[in-house]
Amino acid sequence: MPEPFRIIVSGEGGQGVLSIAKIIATAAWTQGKKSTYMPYFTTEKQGGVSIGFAQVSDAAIPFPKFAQADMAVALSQRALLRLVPYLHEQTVVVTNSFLVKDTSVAGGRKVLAVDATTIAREQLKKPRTFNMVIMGAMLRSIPGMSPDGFGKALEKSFGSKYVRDPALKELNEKAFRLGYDLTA
Amino acid sequence: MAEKKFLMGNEALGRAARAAGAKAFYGYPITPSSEIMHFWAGEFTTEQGKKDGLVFLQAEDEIAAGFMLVGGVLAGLRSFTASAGPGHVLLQDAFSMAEAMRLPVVAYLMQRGGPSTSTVIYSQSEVNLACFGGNGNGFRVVYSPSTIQDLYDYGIKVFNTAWKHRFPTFLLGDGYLAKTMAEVELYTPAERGIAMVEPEAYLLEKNRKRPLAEIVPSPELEVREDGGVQYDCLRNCLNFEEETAAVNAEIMAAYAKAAPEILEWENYGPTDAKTLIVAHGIVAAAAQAAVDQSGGQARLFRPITLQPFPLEELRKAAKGATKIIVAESALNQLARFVKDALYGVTSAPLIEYGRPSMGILPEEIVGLITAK
Repeated sequence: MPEPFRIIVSGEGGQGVLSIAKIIATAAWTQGKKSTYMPYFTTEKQGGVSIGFAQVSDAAIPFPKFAQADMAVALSQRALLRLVPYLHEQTVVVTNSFLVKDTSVAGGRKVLAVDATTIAREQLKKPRTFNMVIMGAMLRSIPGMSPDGFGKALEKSFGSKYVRDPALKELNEKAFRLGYDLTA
Repeated sequence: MAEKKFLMGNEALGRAARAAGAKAFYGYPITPSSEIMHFWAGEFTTEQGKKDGLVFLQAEDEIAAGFMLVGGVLAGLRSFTASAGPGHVLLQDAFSMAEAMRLPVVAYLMQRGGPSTSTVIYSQSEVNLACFGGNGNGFRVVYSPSTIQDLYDYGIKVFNTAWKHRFPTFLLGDGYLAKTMAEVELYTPAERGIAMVEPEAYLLEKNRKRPLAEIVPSPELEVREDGGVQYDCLRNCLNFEEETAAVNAEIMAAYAKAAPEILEWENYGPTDAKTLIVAHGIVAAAAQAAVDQSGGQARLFRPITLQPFPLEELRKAAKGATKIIVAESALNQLARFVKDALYGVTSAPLIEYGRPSMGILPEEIVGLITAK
């Protein structure tokens, strides 16, 4: 059985960490892949470190949790520390470099340092869209995910919100395209 | 029409209850089970929910919710609750009453860390509680689902087991299953040829399809007359030790009769494999992956019903095994069942891998299989 592609996302509670893992898994499923998403969180609504586990595969996925990730996404400095045990030799590390200044714990691994917060603030004027920028940057490294498919998946996920707020659709798409283009 | 959706486990359960034709939910929210209640509250407010006459009541706590559930069942509604951890503890008072009076209460229980409030995430530490939590003898049915699809399938099945056999029936899931999103195939029971057992009011009903005397233990039934009308009065408070012994004997006999039809288990992997893994719930899913990775060395016995426990089937599975591994995210809860079943039957060493409130990954089980 081919191994699923495994993604772990970590950050501060309230940052939308879990949404990233959930949206990626949902988008993969919408594009015809098998996928799972599992959140891991503590009792704090804000202030604790949350972890999201996502897997994408062509075959059924036997278990929602895993020990080693193919991609590790850290949205804060201490979140990166939490991810170290999940790294293998080839893990691609993605960080929001606005908050993660020191990536030395990633060793010699490939690090995609994306200043998502600055992009979201300066180019999009909406700091909250930094998540979409991060997702855009993640996309190219996840097998079988296309930006068009991802856009369509977002439309499904955000369906009712997009209807209420059509500008949000444009904003989200712009944000993930900016992230996607960074990794070209 | 059957359709595949990408759903959170809790939502799959909410949809299962709807598909099963459940009418009433009484409960109190607790992580990791809360979305089951949220789903029902949402259904309750839709046009279709109103048309279907759904009942939704958030109680002040799980003690109240449990007895509301008993009330719903007595009134003949296909009713259920959902809970976890300390909430599951509080429900046991009402569950005990249901056990005594043969009331088909249904609960979706999603285990979290324990003892006490502990973590909101995951464990398999509520096995003893689900199976034997009352001040009685464990006359209840407990299913242990392994996958999100199982949540949907057994989420429907629990209602039929409960109403057919008139025992409290629980789906014992966990926080991982509750919160995981994955593909689920949704269907109506009719599409699969599943006929739903119709519920029936217990109280003040004259023309029952099934006489209460067939279900409720005889010392607990009392017929009273008022103004020329006869009422069946159910008692759960008894005067004599002999009455209580008789109640237990009657329930035990009914349970023994129903058990062969309720029992479920699964054998997985090559039958000649020398290592036998015993696991339930989501740990069985990890064990299944471990069996696939272990190149014919191991096989899995998975009890699907923990209560009644498939004792004879486990004994059969243990034949030929030279090593038996019990893996569970708890200490000596599944293992106790296994030791009970295998006492005097096998001389194979039993390895207990108890990891309370910790997930068990397929790789860990592979490690146990290959360890010398």
